[in-house]
This record gives sequence, structure tokens and C-alpha cells, in this order.
Amino acid sequence: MKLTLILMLSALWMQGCSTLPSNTFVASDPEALNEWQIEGSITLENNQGDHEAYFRYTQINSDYELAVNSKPAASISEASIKGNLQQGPNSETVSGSGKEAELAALIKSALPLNQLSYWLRALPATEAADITQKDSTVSQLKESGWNISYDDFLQIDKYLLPGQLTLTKDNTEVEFNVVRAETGFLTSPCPDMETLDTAPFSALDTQSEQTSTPKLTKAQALDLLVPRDGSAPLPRWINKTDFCRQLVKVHGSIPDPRIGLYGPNSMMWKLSAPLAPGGMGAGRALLLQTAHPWITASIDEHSIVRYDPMERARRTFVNVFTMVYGSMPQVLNSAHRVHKTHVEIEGKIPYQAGAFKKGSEYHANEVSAMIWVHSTLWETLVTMYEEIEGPLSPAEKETFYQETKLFAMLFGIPEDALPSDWNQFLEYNHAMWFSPQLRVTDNAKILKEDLFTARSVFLIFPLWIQEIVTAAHLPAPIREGYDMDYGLWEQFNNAWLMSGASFANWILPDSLGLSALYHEAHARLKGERVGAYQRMLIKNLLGTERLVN
Amino acid sequence: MGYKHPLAWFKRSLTLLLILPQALWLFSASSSHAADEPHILYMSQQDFLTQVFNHSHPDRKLLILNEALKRKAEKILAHRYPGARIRYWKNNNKTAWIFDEIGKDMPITMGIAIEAGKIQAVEILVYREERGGEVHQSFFKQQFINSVLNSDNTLSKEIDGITGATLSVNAVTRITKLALALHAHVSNTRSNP
Repeated sequence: MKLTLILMLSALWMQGCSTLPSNTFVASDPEALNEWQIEGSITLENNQGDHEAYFRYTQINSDYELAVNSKPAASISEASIKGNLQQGPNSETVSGSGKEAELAALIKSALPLNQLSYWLRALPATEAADITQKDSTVSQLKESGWNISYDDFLQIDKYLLPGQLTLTKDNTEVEFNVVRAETGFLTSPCPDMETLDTAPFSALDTQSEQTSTPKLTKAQALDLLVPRDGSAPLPRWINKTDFCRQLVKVHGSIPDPRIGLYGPNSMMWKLSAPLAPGGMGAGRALLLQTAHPWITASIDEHSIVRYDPMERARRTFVNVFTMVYGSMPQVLNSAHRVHKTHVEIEGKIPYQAGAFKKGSEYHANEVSAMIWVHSTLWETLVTMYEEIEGPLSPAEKETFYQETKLFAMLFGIPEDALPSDWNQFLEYNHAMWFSPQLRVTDNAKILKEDLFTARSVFLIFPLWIQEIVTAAHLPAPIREGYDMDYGLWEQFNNAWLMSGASFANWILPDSLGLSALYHEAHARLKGERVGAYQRMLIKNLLGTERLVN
Repeated sequence: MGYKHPLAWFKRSLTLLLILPQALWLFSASSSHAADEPHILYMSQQDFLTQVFNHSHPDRKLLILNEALKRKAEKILAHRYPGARIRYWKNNNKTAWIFDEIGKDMPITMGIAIEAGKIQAVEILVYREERGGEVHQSFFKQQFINSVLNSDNTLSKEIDGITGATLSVNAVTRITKLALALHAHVSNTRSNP
């Protein structure tokens, strides 16, 4: 019995070691940060006693601000010290009132704040600093009479920033415990584009000029996406200016950057939080996408999906989850990352496929193709959510759909190119399923086989579930296109699998049944770090120590 | 400890039952988690400096970027240099520079050594992009040796590109030019204060 248990545990251990790729993170130089923010708690001990508060340190180019608050995650500062790195201590001013302002004044008199900008990033402020390193990170800095010791570095985006630093000098000790940080996009959604006019969307391609008429009826808008004559839609490429113009609109509509695009009261968080609907619908969304010849062609020529589907899925989910749950700076960072990746994805369709002629151009940054990918995600999520969790009211679906438009705009898709409401969105999806724009090519069928072939014994059962549920939920013409069986046996299996998912969803506690990112996003709103179990999930499944905090 | 509802006890037990094997599986993998992109550490900063200065590398110096230097850097890089200062090491007429420059999406960490205004070494310390890693190969890096910066901010030697690695090639070329310009600046400043 004991031997069996030991063998099982050892097998589990080794499986964990072998399934996930090896750690390769090497931090970038935080010297290059010019817009960044960290927050957490601060403790000051000196002859005048012990003082505790919450802090938020922000640096934009040479200007810095240390906000001091009595509560974590405060959007408005109770007291703050502002200064400029180049102008030195004489530029520093304290504002606010009450205990926090008194503490701010104490901090200002005790600490060289212009040097703190560097120390908080574990960088020396001057050439005279004495640096001690341990395992390639700074463990101690001695500078200007201060002794600064570092502990618990946090991986934030591509940087490693100190999670805890203690500064001591004479009878003064100051301790910073960092909870979270932002590493860019604090002031502008497109920092490298100085000016963006507010002219309406107009794509680069001359063909699209015909389509940029200011006001279209609902039917005309749908005809642009799914032409009635069965032809391919006129391409509307998205360039950097178009992309940034949409980001500016999104950025301007978000009242609190900490909350991000949606927040805890949104339908988006409500529908995305339970793991079962998204998990059970992943195959359906993917096969609907790859039924579009552009998607299959771009995967064939530009993606690692065939060789490493788990890695590809992880990279996709890192961006999707960040856009759904992240703060605005994190959301914008992800949007830029995806746009840059899409810029590289272009080519020519190597075969005739439905509405798309052999040799015709495809680009990942094209409005109609991106709307299709976007639609498969949200239409699938609602379908699976209603089946697993229960029906949604028409008003809830409408609210959810309007929220998804913000997500679409992060890809540069102009709002007026999207179906206007939930009903038109459904109409668009149905029209696409039966249009020649979707054609399951031989390459798409091979891709489906690759995706559902288990590369580990531990994946055989999950992928079998995925295949059954996907076949059951795909629209009939697409399912037939993929040659997927859906007879009585598959219907029986789908019925108990979906019932099992509903039961599991009901019985599982939130810590297991809801997304780790949902928990991390809530921790961000409270100004806390998410719990150890959720941190471990994020680190191992998404490959980063933190994603939305 | 009492549970108000039998379901609460059941849920707690189920949580433990499910979390334990999952935690074990994840913990075993926690020392081998994936990064967002595959990062390759070719050479540490210490090893680069040892290579350049032969075991006696000088203390780190910090070059504060004033407006004129920022404009110069921006002209060479064709984008803003984000930092307020640049670290470097200098011994007589030899300098070593370490920069992060984005190829496509992720920063490439590069070490550039310059002696008497000529490139002495170009090393890729960390490569983080998915594609284009061929820039770390000797045949590419050797092309920069003995290059100087022309008055129009071009390199004196023609640099052959690498198919499929254009953005990384451009990033290395830009940083090499910036290092030469900054070397000239610190050499002139320190010798003619």
C-alpha cells in the first residue's frame, strides 16, 4: 500500500517536472523604466516612534511622487511628497493633511527621496555605491550613509523588482513591503505616438475607403462583414495609428485604471471567472477560428501551435486574461504586445478556400478576420456558461456584449465595425457559420487532429472530453467539415460530461472553481498579494509569477 | 470546529482532496516554470566585463543623459531612450557598455566593448525573443569588429543581415552605433572636462 502510494506520488512529481517547460526568465534592466509605479506598506522607526502606512511611489520621467495613505489601494492620496530627480531635494513639496501628512513630512526629512527612486529598483543612485550581489540580484547597497538590504524579489512583467527593502541609518529604519507594481503605460496608451488626431477610423488600404462611410444601417454593417453574395469581405487593415486611436478611446472611457476594463461588477468577470464554461468551450472556439482559411494559413506559416499547442495556448491566454482582468497599464501592455505580433503575420492563401481565392493576401491585423476570432470567444463563452451555470437574461447578454466591444477595440477594431447589439451579434455568427468565409480545409483538419492528440498520458482523458464536447457544440456545417462524429454514443457522453461539469462547478469551492486570475485581480483591487496556492497556479500554468497584480 | 452546513464540510474535504495532488504536481514544476518567452542567457555581465578588461575591470560609471545626449540617442535609435542614465565601465581608452534594446517585442541584452573609438567586441548576453537568435553567432558579431561611427551616424563597415532575424540585426546595429557615440562623448568629456 505504502509502496503504491510512494510510486503514485513519485509519478505525479515527475509528471509535473516533465510537462511544463523549464524556467528561462532573465530579468531586464530596470534602469530603462521611465514610467513606473509600486505600492505596498511602509514602516518608519526612529527616535520619534514607530509609524505605519500604505505607500504608492510613482515616477514619470524625472518627476516622482510618494503617496502616503491610511488604507491600501486608495485611488486618491491622503498625503504625498512630490519632487523632481534633476532638481533635487529642493524641489520636494509635501501636500495633504492629518496623520498621513505628518508621516509624509517625517519621511521627507528622513529619506533622500531622489535616491529612493533608484533604491526601490535595487539600483545604485550614484557611482559611489557599494553593491553586494547574491544569485545575480542585489542583496545589499551601501550609499550616502544608508544601508539598504533587499529580500523577496518580485517578477513584474520583464523586470525583477524588490519585494522587501529595509533602509537603515543611525537610529532610523524604514521598511518597504511591495505588493504590486506597474512598469509602463501610466500616462498614455501609445507613448511612442506623440499626436493622434481624432478623425474617424480610416484604414490604410484604398479599398477600405469605400467602406468608411460615417453612418451605416445595421443591415449594411452586417453586409460588410458577411456579404450576401458569398464573396470575401473587403479587407480593412489596421495600422499603428488606427490601433492607437482605438486605444485612446478605450483609455478615455475607463474611470479607474486600477480596476481595468471591466471590474468585479461586470458581466465579463462574472462569465469569465468559472473555469468550466471557458475550459469546456476552448475546443469549440478554436475550431470555429481555424475554420476561417486565414487563421489556418497564418497558423501554418507563423505559429508554433502544431509543435507546441500548450505553449501557444499559454501565450494566448496570458494576453486574453490580462485584457479581461488586468489594470489599465497591464491591459495596454498586452494590447501592444498582441498588435506587434499580429503585424508580423501576413502572407498569401496557398489554395482556393471558400470565399478566399488562391494567392489572395491575409493579414492578422484585419478588421473582419479579427471580429471573427473575437466573436468565437464570446459567443462560445455565453453558450457554455448558460449550459453549465444557467440561463442569462437578455439584458445580461446585452450588457456582456457591449462590454466585449472594449476588448475588440484593444485590437484596433473600431466600434462601428462591430455588430451593434447582442441580437445582431448572434445574427452575424449564424451568417458566418453558413457563409463561404468558413471552409474547413485539409490543413484545418490536420490541425484539429494535432490539437486533440494527447502528448502525455495525463492529457488523454482531458482531450477526449474536449473532443466530445466540441463536437456536440459546433454548428452542424462546421462539425461536418471537420468530419467529427456526433452519433448517439457522442450525445450520451456529452450529456454526462456537461452534467458532470455543472455538478463540479456547483460543488467546487471558489478557490478551485474560479480562475486564479479572477482571484489575483480581486487581490489587486484590495491592494494585496493573492494567496500562495493561486500564485503557484499562475506561475506554473501561465509561466509568470504574477499576471494582473 | 463546527460547520454550519454539511455541504461546507464536504466542500472543505473536497478542496483538500483536490488541492493536494494538484499542489504536488505544481510544486514539482514550480522550479521549472516557463517564462513568457524563451530567455537564453549566453553570458553573464561579470563574464563579459572579465573578457573585456581581463580580470581587473573598473568600477561602474553612470552617464547621465542630458537633453543633448537624449536627442542624439533618439536620433541613432529612431526611438526614445527610456532611461535617465546609462551604466558603463571605463579603463584608459577602453569602455564597455551594457544595453537592453527591443528587437521585436522583448529586450535583447547586449554588451559592447570599444577601444580607441573602434568596436572591440559585441556580445549578446541575453536573448529573449522567440525568433532571430542567430545574432548571437560569431559570424554575425565579427562583422562589427573595428567599426567606427561615421559623421552621419552610420557604421564604417557594411553589416550583412540574417534572413528571419531582421529586427534583431537592426537592434544590435542601432546599439553598436549608440555605444560608439557615447564612447566618443565620455572620452571627450573626461579628457577635456
